[in-house]
Amino acid sequence: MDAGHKIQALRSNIERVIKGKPAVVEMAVVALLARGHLLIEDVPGVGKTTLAHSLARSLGCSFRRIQFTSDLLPADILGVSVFHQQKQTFEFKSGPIFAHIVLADEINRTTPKTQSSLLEAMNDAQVSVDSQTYPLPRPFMVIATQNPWEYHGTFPLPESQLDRFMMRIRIGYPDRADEKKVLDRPQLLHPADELEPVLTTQEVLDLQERVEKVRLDDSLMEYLLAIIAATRRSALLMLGVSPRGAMALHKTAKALALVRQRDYCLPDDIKELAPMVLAHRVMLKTSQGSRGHRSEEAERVIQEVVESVPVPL
Amino acid sequence: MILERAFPVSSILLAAIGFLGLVLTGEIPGGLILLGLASLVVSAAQAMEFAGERLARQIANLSSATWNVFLIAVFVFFGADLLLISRDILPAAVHFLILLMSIKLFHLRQRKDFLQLYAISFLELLAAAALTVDLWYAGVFIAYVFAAIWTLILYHLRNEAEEARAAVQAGKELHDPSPIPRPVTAQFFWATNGIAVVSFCLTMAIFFLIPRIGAGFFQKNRVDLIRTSGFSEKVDLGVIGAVKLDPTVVMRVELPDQKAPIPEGLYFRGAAYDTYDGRSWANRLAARRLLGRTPDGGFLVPSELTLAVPESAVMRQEILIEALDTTVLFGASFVESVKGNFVVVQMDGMRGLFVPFPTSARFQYGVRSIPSRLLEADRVAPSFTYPAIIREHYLQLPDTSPRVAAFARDVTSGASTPYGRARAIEQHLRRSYQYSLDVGTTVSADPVDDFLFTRKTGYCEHYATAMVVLLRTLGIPARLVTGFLPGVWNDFGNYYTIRQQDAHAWVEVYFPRSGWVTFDPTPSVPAAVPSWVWWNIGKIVDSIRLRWDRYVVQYSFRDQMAVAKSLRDRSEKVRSEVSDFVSTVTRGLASARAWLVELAHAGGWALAIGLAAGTLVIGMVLAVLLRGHGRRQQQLDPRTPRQVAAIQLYTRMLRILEIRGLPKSPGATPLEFARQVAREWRDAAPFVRPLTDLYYQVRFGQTSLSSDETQKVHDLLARLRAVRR
Repeated sequence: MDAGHKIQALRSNIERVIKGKPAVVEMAVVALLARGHLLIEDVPGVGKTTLAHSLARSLGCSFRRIQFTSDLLPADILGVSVFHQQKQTFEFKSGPIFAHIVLADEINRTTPKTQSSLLEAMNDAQVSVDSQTYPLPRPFMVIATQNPWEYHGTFPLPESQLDRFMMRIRIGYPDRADEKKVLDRPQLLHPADELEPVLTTQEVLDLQERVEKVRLDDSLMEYLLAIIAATRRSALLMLGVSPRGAMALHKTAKALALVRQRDYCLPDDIKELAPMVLAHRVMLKTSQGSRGHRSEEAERVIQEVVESVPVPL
Repeated sequence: MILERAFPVSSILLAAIGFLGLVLTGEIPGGLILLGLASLVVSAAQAMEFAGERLARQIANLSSATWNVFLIAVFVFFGADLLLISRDILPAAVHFLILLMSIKLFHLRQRKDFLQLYAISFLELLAAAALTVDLWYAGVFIAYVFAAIWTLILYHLRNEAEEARAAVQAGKELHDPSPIPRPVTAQFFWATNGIAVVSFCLTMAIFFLIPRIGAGFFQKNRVDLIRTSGFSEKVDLGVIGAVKLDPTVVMRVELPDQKAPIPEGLYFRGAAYDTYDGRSWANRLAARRLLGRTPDGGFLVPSELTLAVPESAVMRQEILIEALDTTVLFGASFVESVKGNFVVVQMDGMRGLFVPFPTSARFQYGVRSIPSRLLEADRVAPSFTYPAIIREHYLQLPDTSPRVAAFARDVTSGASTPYGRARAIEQHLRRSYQYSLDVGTTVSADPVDDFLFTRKTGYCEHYATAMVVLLRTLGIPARLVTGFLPGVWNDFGNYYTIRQQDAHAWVEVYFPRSGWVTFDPTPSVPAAVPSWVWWNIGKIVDSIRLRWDRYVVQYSFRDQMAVAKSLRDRSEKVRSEVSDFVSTVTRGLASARAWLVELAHAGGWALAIGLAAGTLVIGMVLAVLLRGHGRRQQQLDPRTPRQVAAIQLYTRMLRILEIRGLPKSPGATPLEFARQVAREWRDAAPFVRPLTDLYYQVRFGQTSLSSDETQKVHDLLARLRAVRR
């Protein structure tokens, strides 16, 4: 089975559960193939957790879910060294982060201290506890969810934390027909539990490898850099996109090309991804409104900025 | 250097080279030279962003009305120059050009200003060509070709850059409007020089191949003729001495059959004189007649004798003569025929050859000469009876003192034949008299008497006159001849360089059977030899100058025919050599194969494999190097030709749609634009979408279109064009 078929199989497998949202599924797969982490931001009940769950189930990977609450501590995520009576030594009991796919549910409900314990894991795919470093399994992907409209008892993610997420996506309400399909489904089991894995971890790693080989023409590289530069100059933004953001756009563009069965990028790939890859990394000059509003506003500004950059012929 | 600076500098350099060409002709008044120089220096300083910028800016800021006034003033000046000052179109136009150039140099703003400057510099180069035929023009011309190619390439680059900038500005304000200035690298410099060399070679080929039809239409009218002495109908004694220190080159003589200088006895004969009145020589046989044509287009000098001459005795000469004020045609004694671009050639009664008018430019002609030979019968004959005409002209004597005749008898007392007497006088003069140019300015009543008995020093004219007078007192017919000694042999070009100082006078003595025989009573003077290095450099430069004249200035249809003929002869030779070479190589390959087989048989498999492996390694190294080279080139222009072609086709589609009122906004991707077209003009969608997809494939996917697909693209474009909106 070649890369195209594998990706197609993965997508249709997830879409058996996530009805009527092919674009969202596509972006989740893109984040996976680009070795990135995904932040899903939306109101409760639209299937954020289900999406993460379905993705994990489809891969035949280990999957752990961490429900973030205000009293969650870093050790609850990373693990803890416990004294072993017989051996007279400390032994590391690994936490729930030691899985291929980690769902960080309602990540903005926990304290910044706990939030930041994820930083090393997300950046370097490793965990340091008591001056010992433990590698995380590969592939490793954090899928975090948050509800931007919630206000009370939340700790908004700091910019440094946001920058670690390769993409931020929204799911949105399903349309009527799709919602009906969801309701028609038998409710005995969690729908994601019915899914059979379609890809092995090795196949995922191979696909991630394939992404590197996708062609990105020099002119598109210039285009991408021009977009990044434009965010830094934009009058509407206080803070532009970091080089990490540029790398993310570069990688996701290649991943999207592969997902769309191409071995070369198009300007459309970059343009389409820009709001999802860049919007959570910039700071708006005007900061009124709820977080949800601000997210949407940031995406709109990024779209405008992208529209202002000439597409290379 | 960045493009924005390199371009004006190279433009000004071009103008400077054109101007230099004009200045070197020496026809430009000093004031104009200063003006041109000043404007070049100021504008160059401004372009290089040195000093003078403020001044230049102030000048440049003058209103356009002021400039118009300047232009009108210059034009009025041109009219005045033409009618009152120079009174000739060429110098007036040249002055006008320099003024225009100076104005333009301060006014270089738009594209058209630069183009006008190029046109002016080109006209300057043309005018310089009309004003000179000197060697330095070759240098100026080559420099101009190089500078012109740099400039035109930079001009093109600048245009492209400006257009690109305009396009970007029209597109978006947010995007940085100034493209990165492209540095003009050393690589660029050498690449353009390569182009210049190639185009120069092409020019050379065209120059030599295109048939000549004529020359000198646009030549300057005034020529400074070199003043010669000693070749007019009447020659005062002492005139040749006046030019004996003048190093001006008069002519260059090539001897096609000679590879080394002729040891002695070579005289380039000009005019001859029969009558001596005690002060000056005159020609009483000056009546000229026209020479008849030879079958190959030359002019035949009728021989006085009917002796058959073997071809080996004939001496051929190619003479390149400067513009002299005399009409004499020189040639080694004695000329048998002349060949050149003449309408007529005339001959006087003493075998002096003439053209009707002095020529205004240097020219070239070929001469065949037969050296004089004294027959044995004439050598031993004790006395002759001379024809009446000889006696009448060549025994004439002025009033001379009797001691001259006595002296003659005295000197020749030991000789019994006319030849012996002539030789005796010649030898006596050579041995007993001192050569000196320093003879004072006082004119004595009887110069011969003075020379023979009082002063006993003199130069060629004194010796020759004395000898003629002495011979005539003995009843032997003799005459004075003027012309040139061979001068200096140039071993770099195998020719003689003859200068004014080589002017000479000698004697011809008549023998009834042999005709006129040359005698030279003047002792040979060792020339002062300059230091070796400069001597040789001078010779090299002179030989280059000869070739410049021979192959560029004087290059004619005749030369082309000669070149064509020699090429044909050579190609025959090359063909036979090539066939020899091929058979040698085939033999070599066969023996190499035999050697390898033998080696293998002898158990040298390892060696054979080693050889094969070595070849393979060299091949791989070459392949890697070539690939590396290709990659480096790709970095210079990242777009492949295929991509460029795809862009062109896609742009064509955009233009069609733009005309129909559907312009693509710069920020829209091609796919978005295709969707927009589908929404706004449904009829075009079936063409735009497939075109966009194919464009994407080639542009970003780097696939190539099959011939079917290429056909399809053109088909789609044609159909799109046909759709009405």
